Amino acid sequence: MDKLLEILHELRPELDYAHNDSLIDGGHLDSFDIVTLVGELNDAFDIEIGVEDLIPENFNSVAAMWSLIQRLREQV
Amino acid sequence: MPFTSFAFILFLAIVVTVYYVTPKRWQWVILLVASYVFYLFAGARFVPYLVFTTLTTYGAAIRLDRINKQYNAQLQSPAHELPREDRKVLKIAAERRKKRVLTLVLLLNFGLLAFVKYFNFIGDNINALLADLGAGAAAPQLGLLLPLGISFYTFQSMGYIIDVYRGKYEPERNPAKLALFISFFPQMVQGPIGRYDALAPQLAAPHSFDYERAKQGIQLIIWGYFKKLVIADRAAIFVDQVITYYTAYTGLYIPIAIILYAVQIYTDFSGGIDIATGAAQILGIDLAANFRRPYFAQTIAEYWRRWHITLGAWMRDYLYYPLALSKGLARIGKWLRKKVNNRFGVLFPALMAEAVVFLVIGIWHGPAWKYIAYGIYYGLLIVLGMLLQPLSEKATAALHIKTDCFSWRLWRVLRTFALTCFGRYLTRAPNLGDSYQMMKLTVTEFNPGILLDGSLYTLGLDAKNIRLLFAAILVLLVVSILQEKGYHIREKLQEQNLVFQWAIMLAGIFAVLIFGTYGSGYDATKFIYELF
Amino acid sequence: MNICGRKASRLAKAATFLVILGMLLALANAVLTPKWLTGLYHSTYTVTGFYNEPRKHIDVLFLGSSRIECSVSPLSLWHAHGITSYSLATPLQSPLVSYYYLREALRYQDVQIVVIEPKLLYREQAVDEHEDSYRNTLDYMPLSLNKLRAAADIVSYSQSQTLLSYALPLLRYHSRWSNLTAGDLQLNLVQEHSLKGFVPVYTKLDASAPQDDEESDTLSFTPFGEDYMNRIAALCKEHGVTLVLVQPPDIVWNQGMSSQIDAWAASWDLPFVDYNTPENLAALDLVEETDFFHPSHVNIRGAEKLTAHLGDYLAEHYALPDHRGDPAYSKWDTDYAHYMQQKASRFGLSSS
Repeated sequence: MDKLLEILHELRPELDYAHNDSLIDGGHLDSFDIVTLVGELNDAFDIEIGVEDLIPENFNSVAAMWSLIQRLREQV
Repeated sequence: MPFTSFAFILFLAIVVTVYYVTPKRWQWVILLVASYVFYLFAGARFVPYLVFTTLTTYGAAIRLDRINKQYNAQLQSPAHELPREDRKVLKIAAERRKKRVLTLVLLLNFGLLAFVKYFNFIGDNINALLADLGAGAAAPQLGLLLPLGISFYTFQSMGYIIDVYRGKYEPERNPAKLALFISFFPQMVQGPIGRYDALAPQLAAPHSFDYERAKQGIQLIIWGYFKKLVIADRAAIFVDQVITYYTAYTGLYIPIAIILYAVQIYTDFSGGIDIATGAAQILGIDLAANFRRPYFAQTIAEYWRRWHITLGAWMRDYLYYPLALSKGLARIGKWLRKKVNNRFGVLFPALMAEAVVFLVIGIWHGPAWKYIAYGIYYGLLIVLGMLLQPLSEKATAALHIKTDCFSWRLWRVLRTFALTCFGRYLTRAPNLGDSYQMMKLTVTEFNPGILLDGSLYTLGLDAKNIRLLFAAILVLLVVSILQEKGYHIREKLQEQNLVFQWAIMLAGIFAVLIFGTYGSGYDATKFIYELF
Repeated sequence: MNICGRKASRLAKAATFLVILGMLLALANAVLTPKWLTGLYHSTYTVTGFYNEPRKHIDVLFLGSSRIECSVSPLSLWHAHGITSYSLATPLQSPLVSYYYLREALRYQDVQIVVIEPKLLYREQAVDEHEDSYRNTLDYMPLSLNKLRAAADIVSYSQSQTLLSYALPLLRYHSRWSNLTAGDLQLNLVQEHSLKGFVPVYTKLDASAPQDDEESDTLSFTPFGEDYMNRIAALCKEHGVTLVLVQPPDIVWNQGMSSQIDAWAASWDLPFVDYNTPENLAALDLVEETDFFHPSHVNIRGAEKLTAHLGDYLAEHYALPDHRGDPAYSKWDTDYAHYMQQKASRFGLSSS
């Protein structure tokens, strides 16, 4: 979880991740950020976030991202 | 049956009436019939293209679903728990079969689109090349006519099939309902490109007549006609005159025409979308937003998130993400991070994907080199903007430029608008050579006198028409600023007194009827009768 | 408010809105439609005056182009024979327009004799090139089935016109907003044509003017002209109306055309009064220098001569009622007196 927050802060230091649950829908993270973020997360957690996972619900909040990471880790 | 014809208004009125007197469970059938009737008006010979896309999309979606079901059944067969390794093999096999189906349907449909849209273009270029090499013309030319809306419905149906492939939602089992999703008449000609999960449930759902919705839909249609007939088609007269004879109108004429063209293309396209959206709204269906005041964007990237939004979103979800997240680009990015520069390596996959997306957007616009140049131009702007961002941030900080104020935002808006206008030199000129000539003639002659001596009134629009155009653009500007500030104009209008509401609606209707650019015009000299 | 009440109030609101919209549309139509009152010819008055005539008062109807319009004076016919007539001839009239105005005349009047200019047999449709010659008569025809059928016929020949633009003329004339004049805002147009459709011209032939370029070659009938003239002849036959062909004198005329028309007239068994034959020209006693204002158009002097001759012809061959002295027709005497006054003052003016 700390690692995730660290990556997010590096990406967009100005955002208040703790209290924001519309990071995508509110337009705080754009497609460019998402691609960068996915690259970082894949490396950091040794997972493979696929295109089909790129839906707003998975990236709107830190909690959502964390549960996505957990889910992908459990898969084959 | 163009939106700006009386036939369309009559058609819409009939469809709306029949739609609301039909029992609710059959309403979607009325929409399907209406959509195909609408399409038949464009030409019966285009219908097979539409049917082909519908059938291949339908079949592929059902096939993808069957593969998924088989795979899940194999996984969950309770008799024997499969070992992890076997599960992986099964998954890879299923993935491979799904990919084959998807590739086939994408190739068929994009292939057909490319064939009808680019066949002659490619043939022309091959012939030119062969001629350069001393050979005679070899590639044949076909007198193909582009089926109405093929670029739009192909993208819409391919978006659907990719979503089904990704397992985002279940496929549509009723082929007629899928046919309606692909052919829904308000959006079939020029978009917005709809998403299945947002549009299809609305199309299938029962709708009761809603007075307020219908009123707002009509208001939006009137506004669309205002934009298209009063502004766009009037500006077009001026723009066409200057651009067609640009060698005779050098200097300031050209940038004035280009700026007016920027206004023309926005009001034409977004006006058409307003008419489509309003028509759908009367039928109880919300279409996706396609424009959000693009000329108020502060950066080029933002401009593309506000202009033709549904195309941008399509490109993002079905082209940009798959490319940017592809293993190949990720590997190169990783290598670049180590060997060249960390930031560049991180950005590399996204930048490459952006570049490809804009190239495709350029090609999508039409079969001509100028559109490819246009795609490359925007791709370069976006990529350079991203790469230079830290530099420009440093520069503004070092120069102590205040960035949190209106003047800075205004500067950025104007800068972005100027950059998009530059792009219009590429697309509005007949070809790239002419764009270059136009740019050159813009800067090599300085003639501000034309602003004052009435020269601008001689380009197809007289003084009264120029003033009217100016006033109409001012109305558009005020409305846009209010919308940008968060006012919902039609909802605000709803809160006013009836007399005011009616006055506004009547003013809109008569502005369109009287000031609209349509019909064969009135030549007073021809009509003052002195014949015997 | 219950749902039913809300529905009713909304229906009432929408209906009121549509009524207001309709009224404003009518106003915009009236303002934007050209008034066709420039130059010699006041086609609008010709048309509105026709509809303003009391019903079943007109016995003779004249149809044709400006040649008829300038040649026949219904009030002179009244004075000489007590025959009530109206001239619905208009500049460059198309036989299509003549046909539908004949239908209108049959609706509003008990016409016994229709006089038409047979040169219409040579008319090209030219619905777009001479759109004005259609619009100037149809614009002020009240909306009716005849008007819509006429418009539908025109649209079938046209490259650019729409049926709707005849029902809602502002669709055709909307761009006139930029050159409206005070006259366009004056909506209570004169409803009466005191000369019953006659256009008196007080000028003489300008000898120095270049000769008219009208063809003197023998033309041939156009399919369009023949079609509508056949329809006119058939309609008259169907209604028991006598159709008389009258070709006013034309300096540019030739014998070939007279024979072609003779043949067509014979096929329908119609009388043809050709004022281009030497005998008829001699009978009229026309003087080129004083009685014409254009090589194929007589001025008021020529018109008086021609009307006198034609009146004698009609009175001699047909049993038309003489309405003089009938109090129901007293207005005709007033109009004639008015005409005489006008003539006197114009001649007085021109001689002084």
